[in-house]
Amino acid sequence: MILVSQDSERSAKRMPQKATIPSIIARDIPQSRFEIAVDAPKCTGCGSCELICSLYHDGVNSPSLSRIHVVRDALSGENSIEICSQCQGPECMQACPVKEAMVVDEKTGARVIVEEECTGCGNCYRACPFNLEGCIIKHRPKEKVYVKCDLCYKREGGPACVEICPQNALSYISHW
Amino acid sequence: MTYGWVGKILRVDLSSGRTEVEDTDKYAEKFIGGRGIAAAIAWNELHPVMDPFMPENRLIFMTGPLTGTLAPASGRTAVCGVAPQAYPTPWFTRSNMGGQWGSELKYAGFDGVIVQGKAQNPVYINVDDGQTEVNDAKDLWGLDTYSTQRMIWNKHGRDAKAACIGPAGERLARIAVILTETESAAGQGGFGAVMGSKNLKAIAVHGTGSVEVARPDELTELCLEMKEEMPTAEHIPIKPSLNPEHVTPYGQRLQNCSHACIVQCPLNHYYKSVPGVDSPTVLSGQLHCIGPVFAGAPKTFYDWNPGFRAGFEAAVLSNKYGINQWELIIGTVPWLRAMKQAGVLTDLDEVEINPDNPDFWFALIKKIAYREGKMGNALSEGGLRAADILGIGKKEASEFWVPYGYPGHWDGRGDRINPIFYPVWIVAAIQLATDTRDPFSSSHGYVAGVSLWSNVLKWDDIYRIAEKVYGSNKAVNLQTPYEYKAQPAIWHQHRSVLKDSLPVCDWAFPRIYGLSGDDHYVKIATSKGTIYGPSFEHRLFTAVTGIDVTQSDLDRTAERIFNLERAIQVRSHGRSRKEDEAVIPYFETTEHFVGPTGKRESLDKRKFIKLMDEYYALRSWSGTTGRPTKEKLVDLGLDDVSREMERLNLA
Repeated sequence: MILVSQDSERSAKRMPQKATIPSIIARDIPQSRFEIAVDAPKCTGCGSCELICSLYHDGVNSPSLSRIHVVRDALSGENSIEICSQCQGPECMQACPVKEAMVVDEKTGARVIVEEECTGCGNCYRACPFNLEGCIIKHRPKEKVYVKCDLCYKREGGPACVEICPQNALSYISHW
Repeated sequence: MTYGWVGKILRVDLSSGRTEVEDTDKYAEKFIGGRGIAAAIAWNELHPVMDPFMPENRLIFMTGPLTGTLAPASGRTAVCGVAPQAYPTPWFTRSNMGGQWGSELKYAGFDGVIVQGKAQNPVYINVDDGQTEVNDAKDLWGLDTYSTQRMIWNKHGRDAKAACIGPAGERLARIAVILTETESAAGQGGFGAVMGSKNLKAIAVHGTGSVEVARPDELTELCLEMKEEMPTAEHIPIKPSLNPEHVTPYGQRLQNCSHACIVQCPLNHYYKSVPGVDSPTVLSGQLHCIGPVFAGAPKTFYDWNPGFRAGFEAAVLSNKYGINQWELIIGTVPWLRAMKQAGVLTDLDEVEINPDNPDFWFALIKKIAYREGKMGNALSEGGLRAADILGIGKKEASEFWVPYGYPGHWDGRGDRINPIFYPVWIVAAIQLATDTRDPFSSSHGYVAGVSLWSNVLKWDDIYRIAEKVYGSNKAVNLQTPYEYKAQPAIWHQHRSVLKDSLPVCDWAFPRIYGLSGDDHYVKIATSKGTIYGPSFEHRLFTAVTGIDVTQSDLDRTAERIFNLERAIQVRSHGRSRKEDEAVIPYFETTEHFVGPTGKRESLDKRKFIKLMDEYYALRSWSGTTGRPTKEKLVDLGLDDVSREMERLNLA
């Protein structure tokens, strides 16, 4: 389900591509266009988002490999979801020392870690201001790389987690 | 077996403190997982017959190939062993629970855990990414189930998942559960007491591994399509048993029980920060099907009214102390009330029997959990044993408990809330006669399916769908009450085995009736063509494991497992046709609800015995002894079982 209206598409086209990037940004980082928005009170903690994420990206079912993370308190019943919000002016990208290791997908504006180029330095992991639990940018010690949500930019139909969520707790929204 | 199963089963001997790791492979092909593998282990290890509290009894926690995958509502675990709840003689049976525990166990590298022996002092088992330790549980013993889980988090981090017992399990109450999260429990069987008898307080698991999937694209497509079909479950007209005005202030909302559940489950509600009546704090937690009835269900048999807050607190207390809610609501409390009405008993050691009074509930639950006084001690043994111990209320107890010790369930008798009617409960009677526990943990499909959907669909639609599913519309036809009933009973017994072995949730599968499409027969469209509801399970199995099976292949595996379970009953517990037919007097009483015939019906013994003849013949079991024939066992690939039965003169 893609919640992009015709209007927002048009306004996106009119907007100059670099206009809103703050001057503190050292790199020329294209704007983000979409993000996965979370409506946490709707989440029932089923974990299907995590499972389809790892299934799509890694071909296995594994919450620890998933780029979306459900934080559950099984006793209080509070669920929340940690996922990259595809920041404008992403600090992870600015911190990355390898130009080819973090790129922006043209179509979605997704901030993408290129695993083949990632040296595993962990600068992005430490730079992300939202990565308090280490669940938004995740370390994979075995492969010595970091991974994060890439909005399933290669996937027909958009992000898999949004498609599977049975409660509409996740939606794929435009930044404009 | 690279896909689905993670390949290892952990064995922990609490007497010696030793742990061993075994291969799942030796069981997987013939017995799938969960209940199936547990039966294979029981056949090998649980003989000669033993008391459930002997250290030699096994407590088997077993997941299946779908656990931990995206397959809908697959995050379940079977719990098996010799169960103390069965009456009068404990026998081998199974229970199962949802939550995240089973998935986490697989991510930690194990398909199952076999616990045997008995620790000298209270311990808990901690499994962390393939590493196992048996730790001292001095500081956990005595705690309720919620506090135990919090303590496990303190020790091993918030990602750890714990299955544990409360005070009831520690005191070997035969109605004690094993619980994870707020209300996911292996409830029937009294396995909490088996855990307590081993001095085992909890099993904590944490894993960062994966479950490999053979065909990720196929699994994804199936799950996405099923997700669109499955929410129709919300249209099943289940009566809300709580007054909605009482509920909304406490934020009633859905919280999933089985990991990966995508169903808009009508049974499952989470309440938050409900002010306590007895407790000075607020309480939160989940209620499933029976939980809401603690607060009473107006205009039903369970019409007590202690108020929502007190009812909720009683439900939470029973979870915290680790007591079987079904036993309390369908058995204990109606029995106590009936005895009071009959003038047999007025109070529980000076607490008046009055379900309208919140204090009665709190006292009852505490007495059972801590075996307080004569009444608490007796009731913690389960209703039928309590009647024996106290020497009172046997006649009243027989109204609420099936003769082998489990409270009624979807049978129109002991269970007086689920709207099942004649002739639907004739299939329930066959299922109950030939099972080892209340079977409606994993075979709601017929009883609830036909009863509830008959309110939504036309009977003609149901007949037409039944023709496709069971081979004849007589399986559900109101005009043919005693014809073609063994067939659907067997069909659902095999589905029950599959659901407990793959595993998937009973309320989610099998998909038969639905609202989508003009013919109301559940189906989904995929790139490989149309798939009908009853085929969902085997398609999920194939997508995950990469093993191409047909439904009849899986049905045959289910039949193998069911026959093995029967062989265990015959060999270890002397089960025969006589024990099966002990349920007849229970069904000869008048049904509770009035069905389409317009009057209350009861079982016709003569016709039912003929049906049972048909059942044994279809199963290739002896009609006189009820034992599986040698030919049947060999045909199912159970040659070793057949030889052993022959050696024991049980063939």
